[in-house]
Amino acid sequence: MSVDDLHPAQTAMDQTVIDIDGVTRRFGKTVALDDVSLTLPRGVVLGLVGENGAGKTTMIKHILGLLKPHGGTVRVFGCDPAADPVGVLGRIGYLSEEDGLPSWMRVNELQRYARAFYPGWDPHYAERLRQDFGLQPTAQLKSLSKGQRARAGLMVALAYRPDLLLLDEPSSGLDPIVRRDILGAIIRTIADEGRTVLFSSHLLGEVEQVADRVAMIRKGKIVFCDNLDAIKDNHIGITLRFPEPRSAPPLLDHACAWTGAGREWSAVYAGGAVRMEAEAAVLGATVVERHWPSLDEIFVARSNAVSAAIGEG
Amino acid sequence: MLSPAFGLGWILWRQHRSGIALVALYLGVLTIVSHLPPTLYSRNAASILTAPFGFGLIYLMGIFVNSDSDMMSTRSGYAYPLFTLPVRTLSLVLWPMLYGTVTVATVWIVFAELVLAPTGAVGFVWWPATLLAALMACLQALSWMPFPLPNLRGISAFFVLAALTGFGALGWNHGIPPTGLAIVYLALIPVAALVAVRGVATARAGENRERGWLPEQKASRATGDVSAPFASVARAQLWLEWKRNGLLLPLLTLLLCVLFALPLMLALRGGHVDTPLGIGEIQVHITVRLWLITALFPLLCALTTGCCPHKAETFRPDLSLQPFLAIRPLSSFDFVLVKLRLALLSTLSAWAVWLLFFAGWLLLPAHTAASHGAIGHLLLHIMTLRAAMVFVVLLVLLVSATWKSQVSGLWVELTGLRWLINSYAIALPMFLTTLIGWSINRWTGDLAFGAAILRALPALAFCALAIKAVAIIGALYTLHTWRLASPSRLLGISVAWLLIAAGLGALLHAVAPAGLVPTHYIFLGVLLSLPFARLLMAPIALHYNRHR
Repeated sequence: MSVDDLHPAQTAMDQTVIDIDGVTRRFGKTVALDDVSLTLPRGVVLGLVGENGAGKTTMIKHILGLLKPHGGTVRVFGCDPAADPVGVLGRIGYLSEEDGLPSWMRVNELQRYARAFYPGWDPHYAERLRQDFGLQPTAQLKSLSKGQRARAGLMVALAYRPDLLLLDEPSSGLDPIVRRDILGAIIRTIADEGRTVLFSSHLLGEVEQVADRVAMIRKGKIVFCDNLDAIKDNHIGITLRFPEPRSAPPLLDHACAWTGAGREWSAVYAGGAVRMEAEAAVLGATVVERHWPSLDEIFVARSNAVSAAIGEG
Repeated sequence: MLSPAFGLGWILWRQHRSGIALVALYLGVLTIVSHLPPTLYSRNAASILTAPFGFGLIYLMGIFVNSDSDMMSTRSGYAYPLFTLPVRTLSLVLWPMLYGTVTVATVWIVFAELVLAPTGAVGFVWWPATLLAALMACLQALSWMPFPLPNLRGISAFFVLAALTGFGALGWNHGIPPTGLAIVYLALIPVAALVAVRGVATARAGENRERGWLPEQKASRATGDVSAPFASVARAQLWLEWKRNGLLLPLLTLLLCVLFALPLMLALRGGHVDTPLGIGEIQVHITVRLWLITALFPLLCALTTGCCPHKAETFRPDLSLQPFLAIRPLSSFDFVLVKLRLALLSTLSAWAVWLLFFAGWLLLPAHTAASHGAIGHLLLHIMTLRAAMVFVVLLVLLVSATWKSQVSGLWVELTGLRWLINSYAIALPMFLTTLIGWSINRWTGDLAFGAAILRALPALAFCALAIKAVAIIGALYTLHTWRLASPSRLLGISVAWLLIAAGLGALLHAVAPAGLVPTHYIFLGVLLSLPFARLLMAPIALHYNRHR
């Protein structure tokens, strides 16, 4: 049976690596994830961005099956990761900010131990990664620096060429050289056809470098999730000049993070250029400056907008 | 501003206040029981209640050692976060050492004066108290100083502790006055303090230079060849579990044997070999007979250790399954099977340690009416096949009980719920000790009560068996519906359990004196004592912990 013979829905199912549907999770009174839905097709690199405590790690733990949703469903490779951990975890490579590697282990012992669990473990690739990362085989993990330990964790996460690579703030607190290694690993993984990456990060510059799609999560809700190019196209940094001085920011739909005073006010507009100009004209303002904002600016602006909305609500 | 002395004491108290309070409560109960008139509470019951005292002392020592690393590690075990306090190294060392030595000595003095003295055991107050204080100080020094070579700390600890306890036993045996023994032990404490200060200062400055026993190239070969993979996933996991938890039970057994079994073997003061051993007509010194109690050490140690992935780090209260393990593609059922195998390996190692000391015990002097010689030599002369079988069955039962003690708490410990684990660990031993003590007391005081219990025992046992059967069926059903194990696997395990129960029952039936216990009661006892429901619940507990 060729791919063409498959039912379209079946093909779509096979292509979907992660399917999170309406997931809610609470810790006591705190809502960590609030009706979150997210789909990640095969071969895509998704950057998950959000502030500390936004729910990024909680979402990744749901994908790993380490947490069960209180509402909604999580499917990874079409399976429930909590119900079938052996089937799902064998295809996932995972690296987190807190490596949790046993400090007493040596690097070669770590390789030997991890190798037993993954039939796809490639010893030559593992050895190449170890050499590339400059890890001594007999070095104890506790004697390694934080960056070296991250490299050791990355080596184990990559050596069996997992179908899905999950990186939970892997670069946090690391020096630029180790961050470059991690980015390089993501790029290499992408180069392997059909492999999928989900990584969360505070470093939006890195996300911009490698992500196809970006999802922003805040207070347990997905604020936006789209292709990186679409997000950038949709957001414009603007400065408006009004005929009369204003004491408060103008009310403009889809504009957020207003700064300014008097007659000139700046904001990030999330509704496209044409619509923005039309709305500005209605207010009697002139667009005196426009630029394409960085992902950093968009992130800060959208975060502030959600804060303001929550504050008003 | 609070002083460093108060702060360092408060940290220890804050972390261990429940355990310290429990030990204090236990001492209080012992004191009250010891002062009750024999008509109210029998001496037998009181002696059973004193059995856990040694563990209470070891627990207290563990608190004041407060080590963040294991005895085989090279790095200092001193709680690393305390290095950042604006306090001199001298204070970091001396205050916990003072608290530790004073506490263990005081606890012993209270025990000797208020619990032992009323039973007639006098003369063991001050020098054992100083011995314990010296042991405490030496343990702290050994745990806190960094070592240049791996495993050297464990080896040093063995020899230092053996020397301290051996000196006391031999000194007592050769008539050194208690004051002399106490002076020697007290003189050792400042020496231990100096060593500890030097060691902690080195660790605090990060100046320890770690070396290997072998040159680098040989070490590289010795630490494992990455080209030789593990034969299976289970073998890899067993290797990890053994490295993390496997040595604890044998080491603890070794520690107890060095602290108690060795001195008992050496302390033959007076040389009166006039106590019946209880086997044939062999007469031995009273301490030689007393030594046989040490056969309970591995079992008692297993009650306290378990085989769960306890976190050694003092400042991490989280007991949930670590992500490093949780993300491995191994089913919760297989994780538990590995733990059961680990418990078996650990148990056999602990018993191998005890058997080494037992071999030494067999060389101790004894006599019969006809001849003199080593205990082992005299035993060989009177040993029959049946007696040998009884010895083997006893050993099998003790080994099985040790293994059971390691694994029967898994169903609670693997949940990772601290409140449940602590409640189980504290409430269950207290309940059992109280029940046993109360039963013995009632039994010895009122023979009619004993007879009534005996009459009700079969009915109680059948009720317990029915409850166990329901629990087993419930656990099997859950394992099946949660898809934690396949039906064929569950069937195989159930059949294996029944076969083991049948084999053990047949063995006991073969060695039990004819007519002593009806056969069906033997099998009933085996079915009740062999763990199964709790073992089946362990993967369910782990599944909950792993996928919360």
